[in-house]
Amino acid sequence: MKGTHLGEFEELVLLTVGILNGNAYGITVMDEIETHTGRSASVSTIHATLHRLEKKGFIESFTGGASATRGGRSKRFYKINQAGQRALEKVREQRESMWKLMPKTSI
Amino acid sequence: MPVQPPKWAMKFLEWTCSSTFLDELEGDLLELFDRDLARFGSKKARRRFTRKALLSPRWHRLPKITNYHPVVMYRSHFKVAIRHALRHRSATFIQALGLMLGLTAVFFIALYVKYESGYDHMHEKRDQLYRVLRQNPLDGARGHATSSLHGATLKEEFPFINVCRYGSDPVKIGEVKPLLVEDFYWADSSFFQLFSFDFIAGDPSSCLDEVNSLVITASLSRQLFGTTNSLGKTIPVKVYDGNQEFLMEVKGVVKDLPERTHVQFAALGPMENAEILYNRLLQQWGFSWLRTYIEVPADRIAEVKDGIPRMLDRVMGDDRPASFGIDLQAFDDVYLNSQDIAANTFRGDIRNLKIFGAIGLLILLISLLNYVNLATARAVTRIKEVGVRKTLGALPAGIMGQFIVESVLFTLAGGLAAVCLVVSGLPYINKLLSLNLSIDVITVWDGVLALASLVLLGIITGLLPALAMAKLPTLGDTQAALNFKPGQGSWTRKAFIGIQYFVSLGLLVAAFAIYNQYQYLKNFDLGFDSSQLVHIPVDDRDMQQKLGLIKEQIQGLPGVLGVAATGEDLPSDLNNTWDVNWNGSGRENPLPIDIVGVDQDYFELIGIDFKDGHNFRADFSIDSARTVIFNEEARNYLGDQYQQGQEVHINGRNRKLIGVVENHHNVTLHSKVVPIAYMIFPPGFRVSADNLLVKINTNQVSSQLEQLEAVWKEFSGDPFAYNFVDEAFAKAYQAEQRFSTLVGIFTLIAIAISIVGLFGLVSFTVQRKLKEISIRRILGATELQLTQLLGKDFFLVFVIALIFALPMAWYLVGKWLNNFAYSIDLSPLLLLYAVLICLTLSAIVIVYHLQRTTKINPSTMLSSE
Repeated sequence: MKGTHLGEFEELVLLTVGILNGNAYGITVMDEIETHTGRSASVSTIHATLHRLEKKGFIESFTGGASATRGGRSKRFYKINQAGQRALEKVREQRESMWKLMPKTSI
Repeated sequence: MPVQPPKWAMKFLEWTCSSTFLDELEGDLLELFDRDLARFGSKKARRRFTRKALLSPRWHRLPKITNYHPVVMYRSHFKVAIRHALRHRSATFIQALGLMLGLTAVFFIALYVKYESGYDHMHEKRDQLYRVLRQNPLDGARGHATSSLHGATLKEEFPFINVCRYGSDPVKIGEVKPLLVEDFYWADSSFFQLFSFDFIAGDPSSCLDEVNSLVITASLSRQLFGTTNSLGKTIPVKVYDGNQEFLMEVKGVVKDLPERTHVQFAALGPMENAEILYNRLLQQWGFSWLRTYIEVPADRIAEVKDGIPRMLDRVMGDDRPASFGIDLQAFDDVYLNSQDIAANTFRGDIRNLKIFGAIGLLILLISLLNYVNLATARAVTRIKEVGVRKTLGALPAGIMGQFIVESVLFTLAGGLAAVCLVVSGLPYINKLLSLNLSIDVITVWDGVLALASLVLLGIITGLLPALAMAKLPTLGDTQAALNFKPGQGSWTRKAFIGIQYFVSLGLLVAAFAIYNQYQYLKNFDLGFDSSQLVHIPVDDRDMQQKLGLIKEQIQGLPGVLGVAATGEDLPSDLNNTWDVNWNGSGRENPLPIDIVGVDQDYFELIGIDFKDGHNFRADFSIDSARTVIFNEEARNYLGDQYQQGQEVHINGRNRKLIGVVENHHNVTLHSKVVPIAYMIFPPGFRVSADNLLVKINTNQVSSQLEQLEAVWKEFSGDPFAYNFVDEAFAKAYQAEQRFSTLVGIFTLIAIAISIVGLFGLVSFTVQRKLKEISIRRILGATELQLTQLLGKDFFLVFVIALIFALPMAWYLVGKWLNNFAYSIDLSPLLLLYAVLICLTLSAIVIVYHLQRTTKINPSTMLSSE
């Protein structure tokens, strides 16, 4: 099916959602990515990627966690699902098998 | 109060993000804002918030236009409209036909009007250009031929204006095989400053400055030199009236002239050459051989107009003839508004354009009325459908929308069909009317305008049935709904039919009258016998010397009934106006008189009788140089002082008036007969004989013509050119013929539309009254009685229309006829014919429908109760 390939940033966000294990929403994903890779993405970019991943069927969302800080607005949490898990594993396998074929001598 | 992010930024978020994602976005941004507050302080936090907010819109998060609940369900209505149309094809066809005919007529008229009103637009200075006309202050008559002095004097008096004169002088260009160029003009060097033409080579502002310069069109250049790259080439140019040859150099090549300008030429030469040729003549006010145009800055035109009387006083003083005057005509008026100017044949007529415009609107009106009538009638058959829709919750606006969509669809389709018809029919129409219309005249803007108008028309015409349907009583009262018959015998529908009858009757009367007038003009007794008369122009000076010889040769041919030579062809252009006076006239200033050079065979040949006196006695004798013959109009100048044989002064020279001939029309019937002086001139002058008229026995036309050609060939290598005089006259009425044909066509269209409308309406009425008709039939009604039953309503409407239409048509046509110097008398028979035709056609339609109903078995009809 078309559209199930994982872009580089999508892969990153998907991994992060997996890491956060149910606590992933815009802000936390953003912070986590910055912590691990040093990249500062805008929250809207994160949102866009999350929505795209949800559309592709790799993550699922649920609402919750309204707080005063957010002016009473609820959060939208994301959780990785089976398909997402498998997608990540597939990418990892593909990379590893290609890495193995790299000649030892480094340039 | 806790620090908040900027309110307007929050608003921006609400605007640019749909509700599904809004909470997520706003919430996250507010969290970040909080963090920023702690880290950076309020000012910076607010700035960061704004930035994030402004950058937040994402395509997939944009709010959908959720208010879009169209009451009008365009797509559905579109489909339904098409299905309806296809299901009742014949009815649809009838409805569409009327509309299509009307739109075709309107589009065509629009094209014609646009084409005719676009003349001379190419000249940039048109707002400041004026044509100088001769105008007789006594009777207001105007002429477009002016003398060299007109322009020169104006320039003297008003140095701030620019003057350009140009006058025709047929020439032969070339050495080996000289080409006859009739459209050759001598022009002032200011020609291209006043008029805008596209140059291929040469400099517009200086190409006519030097003597012997030649400016030619691209096609002439190709004919003479085989290329348009002819700048600098020299070529001999032989002039007829001046009997001289110049070696001229091509100083300019112009792109071929567009159709739509009245300033036409094939080649131009500088005025200086003309001055060499005609020096003496150019100093006379009476030698009117040019056209004069002036360029006046807009703010000084009043000054010029007011200053003209002063100028004439200064220059002519007391010598000025009472009939002498000058008028200025705005350049833009020249093509469309020169109906009264004698011999100005290359023109359109703005009155005709207005008439066509009016006819176009009328036709549009009746075709629209037609359509509305039929649409309303058909809508009635859909009462059930509408009832069901309303039950299911359709709003009145929705119902209206349905019918309006249908109507717009019809008009657009009709418009498209009309455009196709006009475009494909254009070549035939052009041929029929000898026009040159082309689609190029229509711009994109016109197309947009037309489209918008069609949609608007569709909406307007759809409004009536739409409103009628929308107001239907709804299903609370089903019985009432089903019995609801809007417009049953309603007066609106009758009024529409009435208007159609009105227009048809009026147009019929007009068409008959116009056709009769045209026939009248064509067949008018011109006062001389124009049949079997062949006219041969002799433009070569050498040949003109030998005219006597040529005449003898032709006379000797079998089947030739007579030959004569003359200085003017028939119809004549009246290019030579001199003046006449006599002792004892009591006038200081001479009167204008037209000159026609003839020979002694002329009058007998064309069959004009002498009212007094006698003919010239011999060609070129001393006698002839001193004699003159007047026509009756000229003789009327003398009045009581007339004496056969008296002396008159023509252009100052004495001549003996030896005879008076009856008037005849040597020009077309657009102008009345003018005073004419006939004289014999030796060859070599502008007024000398340069035409041969030959009366032949037309039993064997082609062999006669061959023989004439053989004689011609003995004297000249030029191609033999001829035409028949009666055809030439008929051609002059081309404009009238065109007008007559067009009005005829439009009348047919109007009647066709009315018939179509009547057809549809009668069909509908018959359907409704089917039961009544069959019952009456069973009870023994005759066809006649049934026809009367159906026709009763229509007949009443017809009579009312008649009462209004006939007097108005009579009046309007009478006014139109007054424009002609010679016109027919309107006969009441025309009115009768119009009425009879309309009645008969209507009766046919009704009877046709009745015939169809006889096929139906009355019992099957009645059993559907």
